[in-house]
Amino acid sequence: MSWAAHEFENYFIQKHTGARVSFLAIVLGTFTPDLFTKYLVYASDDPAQFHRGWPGVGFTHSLIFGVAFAVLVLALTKSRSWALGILIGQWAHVLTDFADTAGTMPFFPFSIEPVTISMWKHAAAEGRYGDAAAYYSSLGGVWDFFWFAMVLFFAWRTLRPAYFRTVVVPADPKVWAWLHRKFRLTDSGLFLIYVGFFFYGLGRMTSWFIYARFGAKTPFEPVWGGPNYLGGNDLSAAGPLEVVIRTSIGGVLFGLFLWLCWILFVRRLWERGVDPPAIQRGQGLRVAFVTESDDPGLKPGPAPPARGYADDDPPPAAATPG
Amino acid sequence: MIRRFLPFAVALVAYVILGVTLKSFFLNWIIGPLFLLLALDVLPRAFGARPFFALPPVEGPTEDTPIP
Repeated sequence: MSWAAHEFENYFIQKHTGARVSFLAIVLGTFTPDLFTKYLVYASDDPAQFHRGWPGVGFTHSLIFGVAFAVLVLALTKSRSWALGILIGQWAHVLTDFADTAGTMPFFPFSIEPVTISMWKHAAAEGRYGDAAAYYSSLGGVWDFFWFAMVLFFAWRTLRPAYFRTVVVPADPKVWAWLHRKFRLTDSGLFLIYVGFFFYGLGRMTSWFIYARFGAKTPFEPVWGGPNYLGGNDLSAAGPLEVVIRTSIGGVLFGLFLWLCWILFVRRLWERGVDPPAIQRGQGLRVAFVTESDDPGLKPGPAPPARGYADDDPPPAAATPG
Repeated sequence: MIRRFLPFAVALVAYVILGVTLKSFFLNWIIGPLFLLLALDVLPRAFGARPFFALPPVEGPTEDTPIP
């Protein structure tokens, strides 16, 4: 499993999705697979199987789980930016967790073969602290640091107040306005929530790394498949060819299933959905990826607010259609 | 520049010290994402102090700017 990488990758995703996708939905999406399961994992007799396998709660680490959650949110809220955010965030989590030895079942239920590149060992069997020590003694800790560096070098603008005011809030005005009103949070307070997830990732990475070095005193072994002081815990004995064949069949069936769902009901839900006021996408599936700034032929939507969102503003939700 | 990042650095040190010493589930999962908000904004205000962090003022015209 990945630890702080799930916090850092949110900002990297946000940089590429901009105002099309709600940042808070991305965060919820990346947290979802572990949100209701992580605590139970450590109490399980076979943590790796329970966390990632089937039978178990491994379906939470499958692409279809993200699709189901996103479609449910789209049906209930009509918010395209939230549905997309949850889908992208949950899929990012699934793809990130490929890297440990337990892997994920991306195309569950069409294939229950775990897919993994075995970069580091899934160590939940060691208990919560043993898991943390093992993760930050392996390439897992390096993986976290890689995502931290990716955000700092390639997505640092997403951490700036101006970005928060002009992109993040306009992409999700209702929820930020609700936080502002309900909890009497100022403009600065809302910004601290936004950058708080980055800070949280950095804090966790630093704390657990220090714990691994000076508390648990585990050897730092950033080698492929490490740490070597633990035994392996692969969920499947299948060879690489077998995994590729089963996963490919699962992938094709999953693609067909998605297409069928799109034709039958998701398209209808999408078309009755609404975008944030800062954006207008046009019609069809391409609108998930194209905005009027990419394609001048699209009908322009209302411009993002010239100013940001200060604590003396009227609630932006008042200007939100739907 | 240093003054702008100082509150964040102090909050990070505080979080790491709390994290390493307490190893608390509550801190890690519940407080964690909101720690920055609590440390730099909510708690100082609750104790009647100025928040340790404030965004720079908005540049450009605002809703209060009179239309010529």
